Amino acid sequence: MIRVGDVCEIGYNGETYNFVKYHHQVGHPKKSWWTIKLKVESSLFFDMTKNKIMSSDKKNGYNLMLINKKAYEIGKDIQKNKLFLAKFKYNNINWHGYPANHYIQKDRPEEEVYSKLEYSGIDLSIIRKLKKGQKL
Amino acid sequence: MIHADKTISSYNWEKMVDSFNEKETDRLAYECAFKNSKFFYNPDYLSFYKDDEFRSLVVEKIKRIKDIQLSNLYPNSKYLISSKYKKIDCLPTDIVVYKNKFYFACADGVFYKKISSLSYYSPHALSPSTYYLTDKKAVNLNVSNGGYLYLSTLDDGLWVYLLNRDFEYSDILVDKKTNKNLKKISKEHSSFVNSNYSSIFIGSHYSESLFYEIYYDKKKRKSKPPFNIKQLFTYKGKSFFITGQDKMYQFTNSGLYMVQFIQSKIISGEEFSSPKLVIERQFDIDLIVSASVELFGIVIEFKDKLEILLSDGKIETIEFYESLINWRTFPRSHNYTNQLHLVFSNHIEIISINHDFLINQIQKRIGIRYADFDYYRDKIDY
Repeated sequence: MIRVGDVCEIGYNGETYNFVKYHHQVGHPKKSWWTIKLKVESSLFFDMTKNKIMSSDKKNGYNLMLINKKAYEIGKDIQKNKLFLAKFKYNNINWHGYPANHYIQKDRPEEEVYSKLEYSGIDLSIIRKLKKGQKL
Repeated sequence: MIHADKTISSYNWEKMVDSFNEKETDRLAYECAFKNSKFFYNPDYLSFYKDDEFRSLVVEKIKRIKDIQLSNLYPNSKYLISSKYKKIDCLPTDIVVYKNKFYFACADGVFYKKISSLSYYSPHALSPSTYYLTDKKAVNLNVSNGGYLYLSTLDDGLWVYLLNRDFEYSDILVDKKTNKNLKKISKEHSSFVNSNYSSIFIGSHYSESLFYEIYYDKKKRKSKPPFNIKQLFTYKGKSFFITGQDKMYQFTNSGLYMVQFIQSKIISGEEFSSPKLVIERQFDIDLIVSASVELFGIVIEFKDKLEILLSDGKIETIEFYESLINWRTFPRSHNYTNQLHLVFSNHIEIISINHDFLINQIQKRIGIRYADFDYYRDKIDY
């Protein structure tokens, strides 16, 4: 069973993932936090590595949780806004992830990521809203 | 037309529309619905509209073609001008055309292609080369007639790029002396930007929305500090704001409120009317994705449907049976201001909306006022 703080080899190609504590602490003053189960978080990471939804330098990965082809809330930011985009970062040893804010430039996918999101089966309508910084 | 594989196709639209017209008696309806949206706004025809028979005839002609399906936009269509070599590097977030240049925003900057003014119908009209404009990561572009290209860049604020350096009033927003065409004009979050004549509305899906009054005084371009648009309205609850030229709208849980804006009264400080409730019904603010104010009314995209609040008071609802990839209107165009284009995965639907020329433009509450012939319209007793 996965627990917060664990580092597990759960990627499609054996990538290790750190379930960092601060992104699981509800109401953290500086960090966004997941509102989904660890199992769902790990499957978002697994699908990201399987479909290679990454920036060209392979340092950032992204994914969205879809239910009935619609983006589903995966976390909250410090102002308690709903977050939909999962962002994963690689520090040359292992990966960690957090719910990202697609209204903020530093959290947004790189240009090359959008076509990978499309190839992974995400609807162009959702990709358009993500790109335009609209409500998902 | 920009395809999902990032190729650009161009079609001879006028010839294609002509090909649908099988009867001479339908020519006028096709012309106005698809080729020349401003035709009936001509002041010379206004006196005809006082004639009920004439009005009915015009309406009848347009109704006769109301359910046609344009099905000629195939890759092998004989109206296809060009699709070869016309590929861009991204699916653009937004596009604008200004003075024979086609600007498009990608996640890594804004770029453009040149359009040959010698022959729009040539397969080589669009340059194969792509030119770099700026690295600003814009999610929305808006260009004014003076050549100010506004770029909404989310938490990086609102930027303006001066495209036309010869423009008479280019001295205020962009510094000519330092030779910089680009300038940040608001540091607040900006998801989209609309022109209200020379003033601008800075909309945000994440933060407060602002209004920035830019005006001319004694041949100088001046501005007032941007302010929260909420200040103009009395309803203080959860809201979504959108503007277009002379109108500013606030969507709320209790209805749609409107403030009228008169650009020419900025100097005297009487530019805003008091807010009026124009539609009394609940709008679910959390479900609004985007919106746009047009001559024919207001288009609002909700998460699961599109609504058109028409300038005659009617409401058209478009439910989606498949996901809507994108939608577009053409407020700066000469000929397509009455069109709404809906983009789906394997087709586009072009909706032509033809009622607004029969509406009193002065008293109109929903939609932009058609202003080119105000002098004449003032004199018409509708």
